[in-house]
Amino acid sequence: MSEDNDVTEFRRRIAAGEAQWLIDIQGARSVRLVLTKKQQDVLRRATKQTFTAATLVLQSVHDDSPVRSALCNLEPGDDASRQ
Amino acid sequence: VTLRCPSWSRTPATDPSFSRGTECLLFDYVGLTSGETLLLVHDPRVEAVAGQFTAVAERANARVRRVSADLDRSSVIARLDDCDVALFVELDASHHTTAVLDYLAGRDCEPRIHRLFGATVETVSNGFRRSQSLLRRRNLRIIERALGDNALTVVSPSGTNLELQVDRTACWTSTCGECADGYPGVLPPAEINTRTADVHGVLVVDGAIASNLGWPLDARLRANPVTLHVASGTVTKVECEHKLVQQLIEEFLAVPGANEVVEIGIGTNDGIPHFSAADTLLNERYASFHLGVGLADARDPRRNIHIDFILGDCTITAGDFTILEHGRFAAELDDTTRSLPTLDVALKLHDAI
Repeated sequence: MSEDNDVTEFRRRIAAGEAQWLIDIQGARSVRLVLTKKQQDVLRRATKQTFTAATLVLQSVHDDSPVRSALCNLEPGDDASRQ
Repeated sequence: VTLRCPSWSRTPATDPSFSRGTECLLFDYVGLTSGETLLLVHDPRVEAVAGQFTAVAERANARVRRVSADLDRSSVIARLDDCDVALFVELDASHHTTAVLDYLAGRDCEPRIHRLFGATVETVSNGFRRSQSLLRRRNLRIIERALGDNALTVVSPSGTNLELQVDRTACWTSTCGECADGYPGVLPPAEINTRTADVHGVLVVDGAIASNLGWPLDARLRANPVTLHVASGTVTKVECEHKLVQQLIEEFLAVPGANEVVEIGIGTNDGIPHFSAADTLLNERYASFHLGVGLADARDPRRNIHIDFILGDCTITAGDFTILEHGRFAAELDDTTRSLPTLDVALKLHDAI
């Protein structure tokens, strides 16, 4: 097969989503957000605790339906971070 | 840029490193022992390689049955019942993928099934110079280090400067060819990888490129490095002096969602002396860092297109600890006097299926 044919075939596979073997990587994606003081205050009023960052774990971000929910892991801050 | 190298056309029997690699593959990684029955399911294009596997296994008093991967699904699957261990000898594609997963579901890896990707003379000769126990230990210790510092930094003489924050909720993969959890053992060895959205910086890819779509050009990038700009786990810009290489990458990244980083990986097989011109899994196992982008939904094959960008020489650090530098891993990663770490993270033992 010539290089031109190989390139054409590669382009066809991109368009068709036609993999020759599959990669298996877990689908969750997470985003870590460092919270502003104002956001920390809002959370402190709701929880009586201080959190300085929140990690959102999003599942199946490639699904056609839009992401509407996420698992949230709140990271507690120390006393100094409350100032 | 040249055509992919047809290295499977070489005659394996005349190559002593191929014989040593075959023995390591069959007896260390696959765990074949005297008296066992080995089923070889081979891509017809690598029949000569499978023939050499047969000769080596029979010399060790194993019984060998060999069939073409072109055989229909039910015939191949039926033969699994009559073997102790099966090895799928693949070239650039995975045969009977779903059928094998269905077969293994609910079984405790009986029979043991392995899949050797890119089964060329080069892969067997260069991919099996390190023992499974060494690479398993090294893999787990690198993950331990990455989790300990929660971050990795990758730099290279070519200009790579990448910062990665480890996602503690994400699964890690350590591949050393073990058949486990309902999946065939993946060969050649070895790498670790995980996923994080927190990737920032510049990657100058001067090692190789790999894709499960079959990269159509010479896989090696030393003469034509690709520069990727990455922000928040997304590739934002590609630069390459070789315009066809740049075009093909850009066309791939233009698929909705395909510009997303889905894998940060470290090849841990420092027995591999150089990159292969052919797009095989061997390149990903080279002792270096790689970044995988694309869609990685294993449940939907049409949403599973993937490109790996593999660095050449690079330095990988976790905090003050240097994991890899100048192609050498830190000696304490391979320390046999310490017990293996217990990792507080989900771990799986396969990546390609």
